[in-house]
Amino acid sequence: MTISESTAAAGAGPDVSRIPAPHRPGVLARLRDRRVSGWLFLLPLIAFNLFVVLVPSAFSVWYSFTDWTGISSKANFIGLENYRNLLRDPEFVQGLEHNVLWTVFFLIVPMAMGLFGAYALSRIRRFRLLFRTLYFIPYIVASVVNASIWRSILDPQNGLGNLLHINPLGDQHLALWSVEFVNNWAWWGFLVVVFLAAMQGVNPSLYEAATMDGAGATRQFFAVTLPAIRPTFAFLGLMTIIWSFLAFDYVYILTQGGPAGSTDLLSTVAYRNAFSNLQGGYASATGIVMAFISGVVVTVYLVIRKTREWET
Amino acid sequence: MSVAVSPDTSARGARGGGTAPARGRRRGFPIGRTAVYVALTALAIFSLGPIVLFFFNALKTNSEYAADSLGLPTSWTWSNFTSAWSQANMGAGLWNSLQIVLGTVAITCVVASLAAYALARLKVRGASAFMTYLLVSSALPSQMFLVPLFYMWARAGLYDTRIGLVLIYCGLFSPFGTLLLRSFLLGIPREMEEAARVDGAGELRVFLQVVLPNAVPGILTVALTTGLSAYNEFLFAVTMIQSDSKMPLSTTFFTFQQGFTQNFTLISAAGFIMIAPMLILFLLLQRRFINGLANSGMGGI
Amino acid sequence: MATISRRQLLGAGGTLGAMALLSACGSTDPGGSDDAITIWNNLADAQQNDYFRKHFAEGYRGKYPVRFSPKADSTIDRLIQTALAAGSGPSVIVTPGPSSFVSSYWSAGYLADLGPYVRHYGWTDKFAPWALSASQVDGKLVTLPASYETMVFYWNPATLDKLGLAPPKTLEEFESFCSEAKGKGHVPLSAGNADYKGANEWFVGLGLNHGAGPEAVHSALRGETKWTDPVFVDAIDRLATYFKKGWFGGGVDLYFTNNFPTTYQQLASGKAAGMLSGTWDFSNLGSYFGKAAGNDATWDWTTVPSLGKGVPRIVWDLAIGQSVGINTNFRNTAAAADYLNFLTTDLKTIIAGVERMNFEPPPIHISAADFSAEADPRIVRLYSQLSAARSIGYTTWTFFPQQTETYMIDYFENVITGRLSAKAYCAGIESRFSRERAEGRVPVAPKPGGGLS
Repeated sequence: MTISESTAAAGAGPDVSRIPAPHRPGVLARLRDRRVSGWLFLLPLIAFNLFVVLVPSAFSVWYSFTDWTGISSKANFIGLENYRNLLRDPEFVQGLEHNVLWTVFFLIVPMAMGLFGAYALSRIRRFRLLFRTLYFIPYIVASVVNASIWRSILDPQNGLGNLLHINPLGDQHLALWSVEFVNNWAWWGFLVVVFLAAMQGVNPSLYEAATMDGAGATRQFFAVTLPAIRPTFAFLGLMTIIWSFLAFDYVYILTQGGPAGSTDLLSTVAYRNAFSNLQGGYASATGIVMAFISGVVVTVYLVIRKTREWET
Repeated sequence: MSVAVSPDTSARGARGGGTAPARGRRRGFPIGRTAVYVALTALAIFSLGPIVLFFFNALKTNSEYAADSLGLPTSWTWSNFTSAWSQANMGAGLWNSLQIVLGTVAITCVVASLAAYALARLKVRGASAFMTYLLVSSALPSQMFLVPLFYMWARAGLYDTRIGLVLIYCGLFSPFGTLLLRSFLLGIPREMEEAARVDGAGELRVFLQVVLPNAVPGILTVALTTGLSAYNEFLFAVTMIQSDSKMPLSTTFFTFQQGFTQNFTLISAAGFIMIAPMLILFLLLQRRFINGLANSGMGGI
Repeated sequence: MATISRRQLLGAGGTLGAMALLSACGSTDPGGSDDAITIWNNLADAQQNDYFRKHFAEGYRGKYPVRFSPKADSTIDRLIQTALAAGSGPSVIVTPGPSSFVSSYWSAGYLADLGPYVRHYGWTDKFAPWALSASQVDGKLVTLPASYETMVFYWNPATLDKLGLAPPKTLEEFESFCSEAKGKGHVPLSAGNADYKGANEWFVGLGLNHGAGPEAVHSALRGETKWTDPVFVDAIDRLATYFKKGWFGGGVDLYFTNNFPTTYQQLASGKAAGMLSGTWDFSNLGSYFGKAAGNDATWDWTTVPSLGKGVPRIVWDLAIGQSVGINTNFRNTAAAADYLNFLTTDLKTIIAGVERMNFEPPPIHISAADFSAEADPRIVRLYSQLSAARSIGYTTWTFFPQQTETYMIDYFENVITGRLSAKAYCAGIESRFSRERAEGRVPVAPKPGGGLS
């Protein structure tokens, strides 16, 4: 049997509740072709992506070659000038440096905490689910609220900052680390959950063999666990890098890039250029560079994965 | 903070996370079991302590908070919650969030299950390139398309409407849902579908009558993760919704926090009210939450 | 050089069929419902919002009703910009002063020319001349000043009695005031920018107007002196030294994390000896002092001390705290102008707002006699002294062009954290200022010593 044309169209839109029409042979036989109907099923997704992401992004690409203020209805084509200016802009360079530091921090600290937590949980029997749940809770708390929680704790006059005689968010040498710390608090528990799931998929006979070889827990971690979860590890590394270049929320809410630009990231620089300096075209160029970096990272990941043949 | 799924998440990933194959393995840590539990407990305190403290602060009087922001409340001022609720107009915020979240979840689930079915089961030419595109598009900085998007939405009369925000969220979150659900579908045996096809069922019918019922747990996971993202989202909410009467809770809280910086106890109470619904939902349905997100992160498997 | 209008470009995209589908489920235009005048404003708290809504929005009786929508300090400008860029936005556009964003909005065609209404409403006679001339862009009046303000020295009499100090008047007195207060374990001047980075420019402005003097600032604004002149470099350097000594907020790091409530609390509790801030804080201090706060603390104000040699002892820093203009997309400019006239010149409503909410009034002619008996004498004193003032200074958010102002805010942090020298900072100001001056973006500033009205 096949379905009527109108039903197929409805299937492409949000309305899928209609019941397929009765058997009518010969009508729209190509719908039986799974290649064609495949794209029909993808149509809603494509439509959403087109209007929410692709078309607006295309406009941004255009704006990055113009002197658009971000508010004006006019934009003059200025070629690559925005991109040339970016390279000379100390704020851009500083933002890039901070993004790199941010990436390094998130590739090390939460990864280590996540691996430790997951490995420890994978080797205990009591309270495993309880711990996993507790570690995960900060991940579901909204960033606005997280920021509020930590601002109070880190307060130099009334919080932990006072106890330790430091001002984590006000000291230009500590601020970037502090924001990363707060963000990590909400993040590392997620990594525990993911790593734990990956570790539970590791073939137990590998551990048995290692135990027979006399390997302890630490040796087993490096000899068995880590190689076995390598694809997960690589994927999370990829996501960490991509997401580190998109980081915005916590800096925006906690420090706005200050003190003295010490927590500025590419995203906050772009944001300020767009909305305080009214340089929409220039800000778009920054966004394009950020997207370009993400694109390179994804490509490198895909190439590596293909050559290593993790995927079968 | 959202997490994308690799286009090549496979069946094994979808099944992971649940049962632990730790049975019968007894391997001690060299440093001893107690030390491991101590470390794990310390991490648990690190995770939960700040939230508990926040809760305590929500129960303090203002002067008590000023005197000691890190200790236990002595007076248990529950009225902070009612004051925050009414002063921040959180009832309206919660109602708006509910509509926005449910709308986003409903549409995203439909869009994602259709697309996931196509990517998992139908031989779509260029599917792998398409999934790579989804991954890349979710890596785009949202600052990049915020302003043009705003412009388009205003033209279409979608600005300052809840449905407008819902449509944006669907666009932002459906690639993630699709990839998540695709990996789930790959883990479901194909026999029943093939049998239905042999019986002459069209793809839509196979999808609705055979695949969908089996995919319910996966769809529930997509619903939960999408709902969480929509509920917590801030940047688009604060840009796209202007009227107080339509603001979701995240912007209600943000606005309240801006206006009441002198009263941190009320802010704490408001913040706690904001996170409570997700906290409860998470604790009730944590297995779905955690399994889904765990699979999403194992993309490379 | 190709010029493509955004409208055309997006119009092409808009023809895509699905957009029509989308628009079917949409509703109103952003803030621009045709049957009402809309205004967005950023006020301090819910009480002020309610008051503004009742008296300044609903209290207006005109052709259209007025709808007020409160916004947060930190987001209102961005919200207005994105809304304008999308071809919508509120009917009444507010900006934080006439130098911030106004000339960009004007050149992008979002602000209506108010010139045709000047005669009809007699604005030339109602407003202080300096405020109207600062509100012009390209020789056209495009906004009206909705509030004006100045910088003052706040003090808590009980604290100074205990410390045996008096409000400083001169540079020497200021320095000994701060070092003594600091020595006795107090925060000399409560200050912080955690809530609003823009607070930096209040202090930069003080450094320039009271440290280098209004004559020098005026000359630089006219392009006759460079900002790299030693008189400015020294003034900024001196100011930065004060910050580094912890005189502002108790320490540079604390300055970055103190929010406004903390600064008010420090003044009320006696932890801080004084506070240099704007008269907008009149409306904020109330809840920290006296009965409302459950203490018996009081506050008073006096003029800002001189921070340099050869600078007049009293300088009133002039500022328009908020400007209001009309969105060109609102269909009835005349009706909106009538509302602007109400908002900025209706003396009864304005005085009531000053008395009850400590709102800042617009720079219209207000005398002590206009206030009722229930008015706070500190406020009456302020506005009667201010309208009689002779020696004026120039705040950055009223008389400096946009990009220069943004630079002054952002990079002052680099100066006080030792990342940038005062000299390099001034060079940065000069390079931006001279460019914007060439583009004609510097607002018109009144002559120093010319008086206010």
